[in-house]
Amino acid sequence: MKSKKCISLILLIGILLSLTACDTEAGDGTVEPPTSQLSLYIPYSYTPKYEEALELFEQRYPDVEVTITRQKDQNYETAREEYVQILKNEVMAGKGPDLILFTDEFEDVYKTMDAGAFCDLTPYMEQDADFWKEYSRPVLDGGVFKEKQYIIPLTYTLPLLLSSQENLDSQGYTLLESGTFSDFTKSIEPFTQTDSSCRAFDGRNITLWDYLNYSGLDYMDYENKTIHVDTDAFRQVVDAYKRVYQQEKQNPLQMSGISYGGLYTLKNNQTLFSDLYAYHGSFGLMLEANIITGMEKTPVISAIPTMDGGLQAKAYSCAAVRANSPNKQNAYNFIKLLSLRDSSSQNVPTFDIPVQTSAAKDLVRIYSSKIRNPIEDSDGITYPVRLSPGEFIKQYGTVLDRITSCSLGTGWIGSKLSVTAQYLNDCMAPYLNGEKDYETCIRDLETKLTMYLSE
Amino acid sequence: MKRMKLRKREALTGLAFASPAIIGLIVFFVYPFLISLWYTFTSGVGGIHFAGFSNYENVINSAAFRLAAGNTFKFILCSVPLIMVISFALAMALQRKCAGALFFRTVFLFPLVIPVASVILVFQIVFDNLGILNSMLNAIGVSGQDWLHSEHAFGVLVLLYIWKNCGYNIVLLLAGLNAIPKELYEAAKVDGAGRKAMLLRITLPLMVPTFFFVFVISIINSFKSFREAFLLGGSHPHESIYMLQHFFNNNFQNLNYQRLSVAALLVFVIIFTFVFFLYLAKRRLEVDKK
Repeated sequence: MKSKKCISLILLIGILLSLTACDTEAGDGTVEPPTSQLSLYIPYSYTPKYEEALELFEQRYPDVEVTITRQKDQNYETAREEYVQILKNEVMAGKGPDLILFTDEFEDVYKTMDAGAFCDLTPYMEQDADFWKEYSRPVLDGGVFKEKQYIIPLTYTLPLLLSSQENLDSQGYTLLESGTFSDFTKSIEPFTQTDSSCRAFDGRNITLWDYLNYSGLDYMDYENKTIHVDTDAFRQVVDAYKRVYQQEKQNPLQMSGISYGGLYTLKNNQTLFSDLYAYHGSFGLMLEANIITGMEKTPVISAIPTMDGGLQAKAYSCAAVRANSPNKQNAYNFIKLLSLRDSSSQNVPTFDIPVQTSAAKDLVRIYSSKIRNPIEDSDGITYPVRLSPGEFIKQYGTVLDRITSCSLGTGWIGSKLSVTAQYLNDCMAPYLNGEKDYETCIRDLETKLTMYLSE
Repeated sequence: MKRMKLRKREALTGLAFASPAIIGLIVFFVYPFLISLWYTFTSGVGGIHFAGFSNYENVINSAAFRLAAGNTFKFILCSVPLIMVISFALAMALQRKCAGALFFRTVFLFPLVIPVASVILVFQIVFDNLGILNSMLNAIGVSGQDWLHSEHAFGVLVLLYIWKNCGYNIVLLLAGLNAIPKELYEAAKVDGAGRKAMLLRITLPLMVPTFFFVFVISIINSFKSFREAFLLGGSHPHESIYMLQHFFNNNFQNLNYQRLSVAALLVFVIIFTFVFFLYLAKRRLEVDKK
């Protein structure tokens, strides 16, 4: 009896001791001093960007011993799957690389941040305020969760609307340089009717998730775990999407083979704008703009505005530091180098837009001057190319200056839709197809998303 | 003195034989359990911050956890008694040595050896919106249902569970039935007892230990129905089949070890308490019989 009591007491003391041994909020709000180590994992798909930053890091911090694990060359899907496993298993166990690079590897990056997987980089960035002045603040703020900078977006994408002035004129459409999402959807309404010969854009790959993302509506509040789908604004976006959805469903866009993005449709007056998915910015954009110029037309650019008239970017490549990394300062320094997109980076063409504002604007100029050879597409059609006019590049810069917010997540996890995007599709499909009323669908969606957030 | 030595030696030999199992238990169950317990009081990956009882508060207040726990217990409440009754009835029928009994004994075990994925495929073919069942219903003028993505999904899952696990329960119950001495039935017959009386006075009381074992196994198997639910509806199925294992799995995907551990611990406490009281009831029943 006595020994039993003794064992219980020892166990209780052991538990209490182990609990009090926990470091309360260690590392939060403070900058940890640099160490002499840095552990990196270079995923296959990130190799060029990573190697470039690695070279710079070794030059600038020769005293830091960098341990590198390189993912071996393999098919993209296998490599991605392997990387996802590493992130899930090692990072979750508090091990693995100090630095985490990702695009769509996490099931839900907001939930991952909430789980405490990443280190708060706010104090590190505050120390370097001058360095980050060069970067788009609204895009960087996309990585802030509960007032802590857990993620640093390195590149982003925008719902850019590319066309030629001649095409817009022939359709009697005036490009909006300002205005709200409602103004935009109203302006394209004649081009989203099922019987219109020219449609706004190629709607085949656009999901409701995308449309909501373009509008900048914050319908899922991860911080307070609340859902805001039962609003007029939400309905407005769904109804605008319904027109695009119905148009595509009833009158599918006829395309002959794969051309350069939406150029095929633009050239044949099938759409007002080029494919929203054909490029993300930078290199791909300039490729199309140079082709339009080569056709003796004037390229023009704008973007789908948000509900409040700004622009919402979508973070693409992102970087974070493992929450319990012992080498936080070194990992942070490495992120800074990864985020640099100066003229030395031009050898690695990016299809997404760098967060460094000046680099984002400079790169398009550099790319435009580099794309000089005629382009032949898969149909064997050769497109002559010409340097895009300076006015276009200026217009692009103006578009970038209009960014007001940034979201994380792409709506896709590899080749499958994210849970939220899937819920939006599943719950709203009966309404989009005219099978159920809006209220029934929205209640279903609200229940599902609330459940998902509370998980 | 000699006897003491012998006892000690016997105890050591026993311990040596049992040690692989004990080591396995400690490494694979006790140690992970203690780690999970530790995780429940921390936050952040790697368990670096002390969080007190906030994780417990979060999980208990989580609508998803409550739905998952409710569905899981509803599933157990519906499926376990059902499978017990059905498998007992079938075991009784098979014990009668009627024509084809041997054939059916084998057939009932088939679902156990068929891979779950193939079983799910069959269920999807049958219960899909454009599946066999809806086609048959449409043919007779009844409008079909979306069986897998509506409240009906729960029924489909119960059916799948019974179909998959019934064979195993039948084997166990048959063994229990065969262990009852035939003399008892013969004596009862001589005394003029009917079938109902024999069932109530001989079969059921003597089957209590087997029932208890089958009951526990059925509960364990019902917790294993996650594979089926996952394959039927994915990681976020219809609310009616959103089980605790979905909650665990999805938190694992989001790297939330803490919530996962809290949920697991709460489930452990509930099951432990339930099984504990079940054992108490069984013991009391055995004492009463004596």
